[in-house]
Amino acid sequence: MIKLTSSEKVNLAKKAAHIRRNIVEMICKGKGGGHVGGALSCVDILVTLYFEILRLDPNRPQWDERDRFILSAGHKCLAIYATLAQRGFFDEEKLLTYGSMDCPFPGHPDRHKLPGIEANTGSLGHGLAIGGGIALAGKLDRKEYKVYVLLGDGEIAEGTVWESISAASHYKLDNLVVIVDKNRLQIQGPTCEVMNMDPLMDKWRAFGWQARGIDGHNFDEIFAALTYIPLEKGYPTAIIANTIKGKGLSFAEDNYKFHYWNPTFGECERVFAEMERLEKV
Amino acid sequence: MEEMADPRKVFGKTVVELARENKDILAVSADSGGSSGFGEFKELFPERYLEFGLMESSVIGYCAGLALSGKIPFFCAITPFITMRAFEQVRNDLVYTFANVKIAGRNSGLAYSFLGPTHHSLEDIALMRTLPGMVILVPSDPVEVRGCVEAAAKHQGPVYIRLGSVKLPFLHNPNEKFEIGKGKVLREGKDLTVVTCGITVWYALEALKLLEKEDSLNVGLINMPAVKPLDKKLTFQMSKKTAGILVVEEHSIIGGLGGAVSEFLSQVNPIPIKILGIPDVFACSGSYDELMEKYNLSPRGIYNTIKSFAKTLKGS
Repeated sequence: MIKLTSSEKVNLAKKAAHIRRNIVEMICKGKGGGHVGGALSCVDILVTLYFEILRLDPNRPQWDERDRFILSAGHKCLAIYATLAQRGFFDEEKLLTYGSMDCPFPGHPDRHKLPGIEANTGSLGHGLAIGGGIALAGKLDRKEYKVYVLLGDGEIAEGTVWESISAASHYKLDNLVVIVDKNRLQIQGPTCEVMNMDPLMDKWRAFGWQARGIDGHNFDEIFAALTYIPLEKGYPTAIIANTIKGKGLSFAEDNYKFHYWNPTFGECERVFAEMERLEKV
Repeated sequence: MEEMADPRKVFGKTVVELARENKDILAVSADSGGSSGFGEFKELFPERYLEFGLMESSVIGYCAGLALSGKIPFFCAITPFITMRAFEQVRNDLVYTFANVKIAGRNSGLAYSFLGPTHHSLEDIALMRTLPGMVILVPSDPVEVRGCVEAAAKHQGPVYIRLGSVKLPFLHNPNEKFEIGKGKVLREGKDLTVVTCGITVWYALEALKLLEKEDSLNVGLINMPAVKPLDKKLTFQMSKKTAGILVVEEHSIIGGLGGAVSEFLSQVNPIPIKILGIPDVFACSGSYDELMEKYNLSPRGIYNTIKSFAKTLKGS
C-alpha cells in the first residue's frame, strides 16, 4: 500500500496552511464577504487531490486526458481558487481581486473566467450530474481519466443528487468519485436538524455505490482513500469525509454562523495573526 | 414523396443520418426515446443511445458533462419536462455553461390534447427566450424539421428545438436551405401580415386560402422558425410595408413569438400588433382539433381573426 512520506505530509500541511491564509485574505482584503466555513472545511481534501492525486497540467488546463475535479458545492469556491493558484494555474496575487467587478473569482465559479474550473456550479445539486456526464464520456471513449466531485453535506438534500447517484451506478461509472465534505453544518444550523440525511454510507451503498468514511483533515486517510479508486471495479465510489466547518479559524470552527462571513476590521486583524501562526507550525 | 410526416420521426431519422457521419453525436432519452423517433438510432448505434429513465433534470446535467467532453447529445423528451422541470439545469448547465447540447421538446403546445395541462406546453418558448444565447427553433414542416436538426448539429452551443406530434404536410421545397435566425416571406401583404411558426404556418396558409376565395384583403405571411435569434432585419422591413402584424402561435400569448416580435418592434417601429395564441389560462383537455378550434388557432379561427383585426386596422 502506497503511503505518504512524512516530508510529503509536511508539504501538504504547509500548502493547506497557506491556502487557508489565502482564503481569509481574499475575504479580509478583497471587497466582499465569502463562504468561509465550507471553504476551510474542504482545504485538506483539495490539497491532497491537487498535489498528490489528480493527473493534470496547469499549462494545459484543457488537456483531454486530465482528471477532472468539480466543486459541486460551488459556494466553497474560495478553496478551489486558492488551491488552483498554489498548483500554478495562475499567479497568487490575482486572488486579491476577489470581490471586484468582473474579476476571475466570482462568488461561485465560472469556467469561462478561470483556467482549471470545470463547471459553473453554485446552485446545489448540479455538479454530480455534470461529473457523471464527463465520467460517462470517458467510458464511451475508453479514456483513463477519473472525475472527482465534491459535495457539501447540506447539498445532499437536493433530489437531483440522488437521481445522479442512481444514473452513475446504472452506468457502472467506476471512474467517478464523490467526496462529501461532511462538516455537519449548513446555513440554518446542524444538518441533522435542518434535514437529516444520515446514514450517508448506507444510503450510497443502497444506491449501488462503494462507500467509505474518512477523517477529512487527516492526509494519510484522504490519500489512502483517493489512491485506490475504484474501491471495487464496476462501482462508483463515495468518500464520506468528516470535517470541521471553519477549520483553522479558531472562532469560526464548528460554528454555523460562519457559513458566510463578512468580517469586521477587528476580526481581520485577529485572523491574520492566527494564520501566520498556522503557517509557522 | 410522402404527403405528410410525423415531425418526431423526421427528427429521429435526421439525427441518425448525422450520427453516421459524426461519432460524437449521442441520442439521449428519459424514458422517452421511442416516441422521440430514436428507435432506429438505438438499433444502429446502441452504444451511443443513452437511456436515463425519468430524471429529466439530471439528464440535462449529464448531457452538459458529455458535451464538456466533446460529445454532442441530442436529448428529446416531453416538452414541459425538458423545459420546465429541468429549467434551472438548462439555464445553468447548458446555457450559462455554454454546453453543446441540443434539446428537443416533443408533443409541444397542445399536442398532448387529451392529457391536459400537465402535458401541454404553452410556456416553453417564453422560458427558453429568457436565456442569453439560447437558440430556439420551431419548425413548421418535415423539411424544416430536418433543416433545424442539421443546423443545430452544426451550431456550437445549446439549441432548443420545439416539435409537435401531429403529422405535417410538406410546405417547403426539399432542397430549401435552413439558416438559424432567418425568417421566410411566404407572401407579401400590405393590409396586414401574419407572422407565425410551427404547425400554424400550415394553418395560416389554409386561412389565406379561405380568404382568397371571398375577400380582397392583401395579407402577407411570414414563417419565423427561429424565435431566437429573431430575424430582426426581416421583421423591421416587413413592419414598414404592412399596416399591422398578427402573430399566430400555438403557445401562451405571453412571452412567445408574439412577445419577441412586440418587444423588438415596440422599440424600432411600433405598429399595431395582435397576438393570437392561447390566452392566459391552463387549456382544457380535448381533441387536438377541438382545442385548436377553441383557441381560434384552426384555419377558420385564424381566418376570422385576420378579418376582425383587419377591420380594426382600417377603422384606426
